[in-house]
Amino acid sequence: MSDRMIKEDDEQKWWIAPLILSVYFLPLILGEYYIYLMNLVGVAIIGSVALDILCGFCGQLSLGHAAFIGIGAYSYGILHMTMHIGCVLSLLLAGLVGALVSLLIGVPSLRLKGLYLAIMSMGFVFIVDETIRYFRGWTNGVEGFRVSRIIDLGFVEFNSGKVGFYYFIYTLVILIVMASRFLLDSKLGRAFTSIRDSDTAAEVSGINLLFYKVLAFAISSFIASIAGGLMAIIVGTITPEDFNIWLSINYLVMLVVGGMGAVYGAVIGAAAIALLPECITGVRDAFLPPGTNIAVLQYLIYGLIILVFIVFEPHGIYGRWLVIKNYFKKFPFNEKRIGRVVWILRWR
Amino acid sequence: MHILDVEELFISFRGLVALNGINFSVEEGEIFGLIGTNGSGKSTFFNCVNRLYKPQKGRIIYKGKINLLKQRSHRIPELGIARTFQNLELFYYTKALENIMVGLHPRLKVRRLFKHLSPRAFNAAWEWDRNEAFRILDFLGITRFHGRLVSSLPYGLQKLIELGRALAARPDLLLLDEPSAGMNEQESREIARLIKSIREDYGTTVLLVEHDMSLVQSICDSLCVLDSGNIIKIGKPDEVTKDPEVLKVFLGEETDA
Amino acid sequence: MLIDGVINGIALGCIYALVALGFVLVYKATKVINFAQGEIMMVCSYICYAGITTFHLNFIISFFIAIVFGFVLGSFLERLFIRPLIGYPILPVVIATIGISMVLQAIVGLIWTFEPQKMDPFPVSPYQIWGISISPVYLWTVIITFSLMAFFFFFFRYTLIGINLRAIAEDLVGSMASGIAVRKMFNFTWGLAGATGGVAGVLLAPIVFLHPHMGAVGLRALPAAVLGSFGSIPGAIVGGLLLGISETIAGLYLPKEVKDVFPWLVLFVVLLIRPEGIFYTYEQKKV
Repeated sequence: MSDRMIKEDDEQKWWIAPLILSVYFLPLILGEYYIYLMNLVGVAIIGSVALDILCGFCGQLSLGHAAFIGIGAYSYGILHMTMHIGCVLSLLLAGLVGALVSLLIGVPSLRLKGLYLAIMSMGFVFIVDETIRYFRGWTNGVEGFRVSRIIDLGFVEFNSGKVGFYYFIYTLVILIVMASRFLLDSKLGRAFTSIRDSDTAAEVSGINLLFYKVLAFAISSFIASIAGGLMAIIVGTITPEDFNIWLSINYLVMLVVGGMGAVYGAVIGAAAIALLPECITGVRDAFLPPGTNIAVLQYLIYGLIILVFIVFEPHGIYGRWLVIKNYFKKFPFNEKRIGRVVWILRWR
Repeated sequence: MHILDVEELFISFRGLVALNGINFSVEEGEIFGLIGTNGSGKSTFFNCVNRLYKPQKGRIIYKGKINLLKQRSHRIPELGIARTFQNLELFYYTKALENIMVGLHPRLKVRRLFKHLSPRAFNAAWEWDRNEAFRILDFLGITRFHGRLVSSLPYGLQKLIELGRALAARPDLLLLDEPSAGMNEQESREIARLIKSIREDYGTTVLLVEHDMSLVQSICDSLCVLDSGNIIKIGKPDEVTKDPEVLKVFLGEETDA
Repeated sequence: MLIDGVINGIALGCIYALVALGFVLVYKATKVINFAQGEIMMVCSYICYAGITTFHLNFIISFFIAIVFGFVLGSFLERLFIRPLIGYPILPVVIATIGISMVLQAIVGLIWTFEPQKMDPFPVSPYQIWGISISPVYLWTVIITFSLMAFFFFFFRYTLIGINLRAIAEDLVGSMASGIAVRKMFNFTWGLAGATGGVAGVLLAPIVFLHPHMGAVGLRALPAAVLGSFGSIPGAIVGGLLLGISETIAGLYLPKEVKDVFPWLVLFVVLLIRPEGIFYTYEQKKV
């Protein structure tokens, strides 16, 4: 029986309660502008967790995330503002729209090698962009679509300009993060990770590749669309330019920086990258001559971040944290890890 | 009852005929050996059963009812057929235990895993999977390696892990592709013993592709000899290994008399 | 009107074919989709532009410099970013190429600003051939592209390097065992793809104006590579031409929004109907 002793770490949950508490305490010390920023960070976390389910769990690279955020935002807007459907129902329906659309491009693309989804999803972002502009009767095109900042949950109302909304969004964030961790351990989650690790071995073990890949894509798009709806509520006005390929790349960078495959990496990455534009503006104002083109700086910094992390830190921040954590556990019996870097977080 | 009936199975790759309309049957509960020179079509046959290859003609009837060739490839384990590979298909950067747990997939009922919603009960559900995987590791005698990454294990153990994954699906039919390849004599005997106990303890029918004649002779109930996609002889091991046709094909390969 | 469309389409198709060729070359050798291919193209056209305007060189010399620069840039990027990532699964490598594309856009934007520039190295007044007036840009695009294709045909079939590259694309381990210097070949392939991108960039600049986001046009050539199954060079060429012609003709009759995303719609349809591409050879993974 002693053979079966699991010498690995069981989930250390001591840090969860303090983290949640500090999240709830934060608004008391931050000003209104920063609360708005944190709301956007919350949306970014939901979006990057959604992408992690597709890319991190299942290993399918998609550049189309921005399209689903946009679909969610505009669907929510049209359902709630134009068709006067209730808030909660509109959000859920927006998610459903995203999931259904994902079936449309997922099924043809996922039948094939992984790269086809990357290419098709990138094209899809452009297609969605143009579609939004084309149907300007419904979406108001480039002039912007105004969405009410008030979210009515039936028993309570939150205005996205006020503090209450912060608590609402972060409760949602915490629920989604927990649900994703459960997903990771479930039959679905294990099927996803098997596909990522070796699709031949997975197929031979009885896992229907197309079904699970499409399912991962649909779940990811569902959550992303909901994030889009929430974003619409926060910013108040949405335009097609908000949902271009740059947003997709943004989310991908979040996963690269934070670490793919275990939900916490997505959270860390989202927080880091969502706050990055602020830092960049700050740096520019402080150090560089005024009038330096912000776009140059943004492209340069984002590109360099991607390259530096992929070459040196492919597991992201969370991955590095796990290595450090496990190092102390085993000390002084550490094995020297030689050979290929493993591009997935297998230690949870 | 015949667990497998192969009828006129024909597959060719752009003109290269791999299986030329072969016919044979496998009895339930027997250990059936498939031997032949390299390139004679043995692994190709397995791949046809697994639906990794799609033959042009023929039928494979499973349990007298189901034509395997009409099934999707991921349905095969659900039907109770599992296989191992010549070039191992494992998850190399995963623990041995988790590799075996993947094989449980066809047996997992979603109900079991989401029965309760509290985290502790969730872990309890996962306990079932772990216990099953441990049971298989015990059976194979390699429990102490459960936490090691497969890439850090020697080849022989990796083969056993792959066998474990196949067993996790509780198959009625087990396809083993060269189980003793790369093994020394003692390990081969171990494998032979294991295969026999699989048949005895689980009632599984075992289909073997092998090159090692001593292994084949010691455990197989029936033998089938393939050459260039055709069956030369089927029968009991003693008859087959003494057959002059067979010996001609295996020129140079010694059969332990 | 239609004839003009077809001619424009062929010229556009040639450029798509060149960029698709770059994608296919890199993919065949290193199994990576280089999302920065469009940006390499863009950088080279800026180099040519700099040659003409800043250094007042002859257009042909600037063109030549741009091509060489493309080659150098391609091999430089391979050595710096792709070589360390050998053995990684494709997901991070593809993301890395996206990173490269962003850095390239930033550098170009820094040096030359994000304002569009004009570059008209070819005479502007149209030629008259068989009663049709063709703009010289389009004519030269077609001529240069087809000459390049002919060159590649002989290159891959008859030169040692070409044969080596084909060997590597088919069987990497076997090539290594046969003594082919695989790493140098990878490097050379990326250089070749870069040079091809350079040609495409210079030919494209007169048509769409020079600006740092010009590389996005390169991405539109990806569906052409998919049409060619990502495996064959003739496929990429045919795919590119088909794409260019159909896009231009669609632009004549369909709304503007459809034309803007036409390559992606084509890709979607192709994935639905014939995902393997036009020149598909049935490959079976040996297990």
